[in-house]
Amino acid sequence: MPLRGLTREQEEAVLYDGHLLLTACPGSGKTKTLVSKIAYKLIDDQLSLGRKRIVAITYTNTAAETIMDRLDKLGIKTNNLWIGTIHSFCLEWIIRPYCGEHTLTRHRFRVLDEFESRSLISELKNKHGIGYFNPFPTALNQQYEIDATHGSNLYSALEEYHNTLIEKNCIDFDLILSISNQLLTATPEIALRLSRLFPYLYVDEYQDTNQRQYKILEKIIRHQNSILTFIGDVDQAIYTNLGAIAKNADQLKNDFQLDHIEVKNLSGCFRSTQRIIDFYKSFQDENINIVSKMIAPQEPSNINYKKNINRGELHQYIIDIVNQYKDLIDFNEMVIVAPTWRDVINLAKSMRQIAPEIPLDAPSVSPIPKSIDNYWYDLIKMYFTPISPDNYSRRKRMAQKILDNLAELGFVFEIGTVNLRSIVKAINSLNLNFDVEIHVFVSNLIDSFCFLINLDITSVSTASDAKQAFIDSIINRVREYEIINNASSLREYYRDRNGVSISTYHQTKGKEYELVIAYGLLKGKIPHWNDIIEGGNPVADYVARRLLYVICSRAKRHLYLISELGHSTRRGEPLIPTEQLTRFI
Amino acid sequence: MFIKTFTIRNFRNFRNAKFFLNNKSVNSILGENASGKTNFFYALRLVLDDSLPQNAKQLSSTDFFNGLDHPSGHWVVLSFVFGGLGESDEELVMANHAMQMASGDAEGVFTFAFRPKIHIRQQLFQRTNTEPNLQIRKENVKNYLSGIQIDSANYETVAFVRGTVDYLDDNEYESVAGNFNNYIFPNPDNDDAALLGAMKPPYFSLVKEVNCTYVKALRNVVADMKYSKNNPLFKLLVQKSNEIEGAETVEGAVKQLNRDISDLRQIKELSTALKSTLLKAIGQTYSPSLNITSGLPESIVELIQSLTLLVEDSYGYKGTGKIEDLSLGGANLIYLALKLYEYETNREGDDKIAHFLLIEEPEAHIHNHIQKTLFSNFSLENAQIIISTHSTQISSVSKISSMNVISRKNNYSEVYWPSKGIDSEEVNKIERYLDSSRSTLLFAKSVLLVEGDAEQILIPALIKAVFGICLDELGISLIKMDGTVFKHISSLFDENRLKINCSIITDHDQPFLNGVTDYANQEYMNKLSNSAVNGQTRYNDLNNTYRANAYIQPFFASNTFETELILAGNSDIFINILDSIYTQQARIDVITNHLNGQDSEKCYFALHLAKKVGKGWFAIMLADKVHERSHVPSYIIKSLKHVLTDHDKNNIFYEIMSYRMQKQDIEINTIQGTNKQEKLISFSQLYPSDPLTKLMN
Repeated sequence: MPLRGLTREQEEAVLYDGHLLLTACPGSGKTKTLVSKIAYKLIDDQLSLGRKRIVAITYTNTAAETIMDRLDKLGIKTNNLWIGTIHSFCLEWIIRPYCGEHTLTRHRFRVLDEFESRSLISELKNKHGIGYFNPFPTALNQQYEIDATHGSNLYSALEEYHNTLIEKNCIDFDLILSISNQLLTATPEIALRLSRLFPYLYVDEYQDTNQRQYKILEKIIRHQNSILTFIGDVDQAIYTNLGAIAKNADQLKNDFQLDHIEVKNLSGCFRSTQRIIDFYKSFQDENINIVSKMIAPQEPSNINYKKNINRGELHQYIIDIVNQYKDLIDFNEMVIVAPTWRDVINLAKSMRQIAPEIPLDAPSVSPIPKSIDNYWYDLIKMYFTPISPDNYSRRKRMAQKILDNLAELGFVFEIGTVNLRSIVKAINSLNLNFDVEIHVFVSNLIDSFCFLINLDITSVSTASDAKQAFIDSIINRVREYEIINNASSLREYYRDRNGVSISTYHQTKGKEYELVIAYGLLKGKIPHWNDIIEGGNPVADYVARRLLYVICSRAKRHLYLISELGHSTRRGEPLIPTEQLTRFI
Repeated sequence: MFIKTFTIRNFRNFRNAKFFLNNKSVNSILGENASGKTNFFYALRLVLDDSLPQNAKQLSSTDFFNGLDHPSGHWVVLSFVFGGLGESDEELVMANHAMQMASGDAEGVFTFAFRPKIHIRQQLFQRTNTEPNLQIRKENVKNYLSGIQIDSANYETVAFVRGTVDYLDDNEYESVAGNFNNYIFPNPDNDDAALLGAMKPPYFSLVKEVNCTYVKALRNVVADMKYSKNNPLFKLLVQKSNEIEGAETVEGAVKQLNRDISDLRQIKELSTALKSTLLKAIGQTYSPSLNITSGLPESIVELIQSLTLLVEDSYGYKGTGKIEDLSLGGANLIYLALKLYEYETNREGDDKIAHFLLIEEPEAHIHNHIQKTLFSNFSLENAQIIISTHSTQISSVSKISSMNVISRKNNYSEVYWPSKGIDSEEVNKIERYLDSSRSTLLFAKSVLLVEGDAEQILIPALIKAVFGICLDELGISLIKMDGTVFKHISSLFDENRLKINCSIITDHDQPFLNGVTDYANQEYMNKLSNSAVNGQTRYNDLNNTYRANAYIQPFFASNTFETELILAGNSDIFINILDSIYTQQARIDVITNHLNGQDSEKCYFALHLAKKVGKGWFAIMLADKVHERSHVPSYIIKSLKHVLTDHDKNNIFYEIMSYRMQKQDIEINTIQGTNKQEKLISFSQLYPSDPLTKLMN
């Protein structure tokens, strides 16, 4: 069943049984292939997995959700599958079971909220006289020490950062990786046991994996008990400035001590016309051939570049493009891509004023922070996931996650009193007033839920701390992004996409639209000044081309690129269009 | 995977107890009644047996150790160390990851705890951590806890893996659960995973990974076999009914049979007759219709489940074949066989990582020889068997290295390990010497070891006659064994092993004669001196060996038992039996004189008589004649005193006192005192030479 509807290339990738490096060009059906590959293994009767697991590491939780959804729809039992981000993986399989082996996790700990982390960092930057835009490398270095020169302001600030974390009994995301590495190094048995548990390991978007993460996987794979599959596209490596490394087959073979790693490509692009493909191909590093496999034959595909437009006229120009296509293309199939969230917010505001008849997909900034490890996040999410046959499995999984989160917080329920059913029942029976401020609404939601399942949140300090952090985070986001502070607008964020999307460059990865309008394509944004200054020209060039590759490959048919005039640096010099772009046009 | 050790803290009659188990032989749990054997099994099952109801893990206040004043605030802990992990067994991967210690040896730790919920533990901490005064802390805690019941609102069940706390050790236990003597409690927000262990991962369920079959003690086999729920045969039949091939043929045959029976002429006639009677009585309109038909089950599943066991007590014996008519032993054996088969099929069929078979008192209703061979053919492949027993047959064939002895003290029970610290060669020797009669020492509260038939027969009789107490009743075993064996057996009584007292009663063999007399010649003297040398060696040897051991003490007759007996002032009983030995009155008179003569004369002739009759038979004859005024040799009294060390001495001495007073017609109220202790003191002052007084001092 999982092999149905696959192309030859995809089928080969699914069936190949050995270490595999699969390059999936944009629109080549990567997720479909990955789902099929996992499904194929899961239903294989010959393979008695027993208590072992197939592990799939994805870049985001959303990606993991998507894959789970698809497997559910195929009717595949997923008991033997573990899927999630590398951080979730480390928490669940390395840190929590062996928490007694490390000083930072011996006592009841929690993962620091994204907001808490940012506000702590800005507070410390202020206190120690470090510039707002200056880097603050909270991650420890190779020797697990603070990554700064002894005696410097930065060093003291970082030291205070880590001490604060210890005081609060918290660890941050980077520490999840450091601690995991330390545990695996100190107790080699852990990696050995894990290698026996995981006969298959899939890494999605491997080009976004950083060195620490590679190290963790290497320690497990080196026992040669697992078959490894890397899926991704080095040309879409847009997180190198965060330390991601796009390794090639030889490097992977070396680092993971593999006998052999097979290289395969998914080169058929189902998404875009050949014209679009040929355009964005120019930003590639390797000259990989991509063939359009669009179902509809070649219809006129428009690629347009405008650079002599003033920023004041920008919004109207964009609206004009949208109007131009509104009879040909559904609004849902249009996206406007901008450099930063601020741009997204401003554009959305502006469009609502000038052209209110154009439906907009709510700006993707939700007041609810998506911190993966905030224990109350899943509760909100489940509340807003409507009850429908389609959502059955998803809601069930969310309820399980909520139950697990509560257990993490230290609430232990007597067997039979609180279970999946009572969680679902409690959430379904919540009756809340939406005409209040968002954080008040969320607070009420949490309190009512706890009341229904007989939970005293004040009895566990980690739980009430986590709740407070969550609420503070919401208050801050509402203020920072100037979101209308009324809970009735919350439904918008969870509703199915409807209307023209507005997104940042990075957020658009993995998505596809008939029409893509991208603006702000200026040197200093693409590539970012940080990359130019720190990395120098080769790095800046590399980074810029990656971003352009990703942006342009979102388009199915029509691509409108804009390098507007009127922006300047702090010193007043005008920003020029992205050179990597002008070179080709 | 198998259980290596099982530690119980604060559960029912166990304050802190540790059991050592292995997977090389059948593990036996020995113990007197009410020592806690069933509690031990229940504790195991709480964690390992999924046939217990869900709410079994929600313990109640009666499940806490009865020696605690108030259970509220305390923890019940059941902790396992599993062995056999770490091997690259496909099935063990999850258990390895979840439970195995970081250090990598093949052990894993799993701890079940029933403890106060976090808000209560926080309160306990907050109310005491800043208060320097013990009294106030105590007040605070007591006041708070008086309002806390043991129920689901206040208590939780949790499971930890990989902990390092030794729950047997009071300090370590108190560091995680709190100290109820000085009222200091740990901060629950600082629960240390390096000590307690990590919370059990949600994807690992121990009870689902193991299979546990339990055979209870009180087996009403016939009743159990009647009711399908408990009937092990029924369960097996249900399993099998799913696998039957050729079901249709059988079902078809039954259907046909039903039709044939229903069609029998007589049956049809009866049917018709009934119908017409009904019609006549009620009339057409209201008459229900009826038909007599054969209703043998027509579905293969029902058919199989209706099968019953045809049993006979032995080959060739033709009885009714029904289980009700089987002998009790036969029925029990059948029941056991069914349970064992159930266990075997489970073991082969599934992918569980461990299989446990728990049997309480398999010896019930089963003859000695069968008891001995019961498990000799049982395979221990991938399995662990734990039995509890009262049977000396079973214990005689069991390995003492696989034994745990539960000893019941006043309000708690202790666990002893007979072979701890003894090397395997020595263990083998001991096992060889522990035949069925000797293995009673494993069940005893204390032990008297004697060398000869005479001691074995006479000592209990003497004690019964003089003190009115029965050794068995007090749980004191008197065991006869050869002197050379003493050393091996007595190594069982030790601080690390059986903590029970043992008196060794033996002879010093010192000569009672200085020189040749008219009745004792030189040859005799030589024999005496030789024995004396050996005796002295033995004396030194035993004293040296046991100098440092508080539990064992040797007691010596200065010559032999018989001589001590007569020298204690018991000539009368020797004299009393003379007419059973000699027919001629003249001879009797002569011997009587000797027996009343000088000490050495008495000794010589006492021994002479014993030799003539045969020591054992002689002892039987003497035993018949002892009475309440007989004299117990003082070394025997001392040995008795030693074995009474851990017993409830006050009550025992009081019983003895009542007996002695009654036998001597002394009025009870002539003894002064408001309680037993005072009365005993006045008795000893009034009757300083009474054997009881000697016993008490």
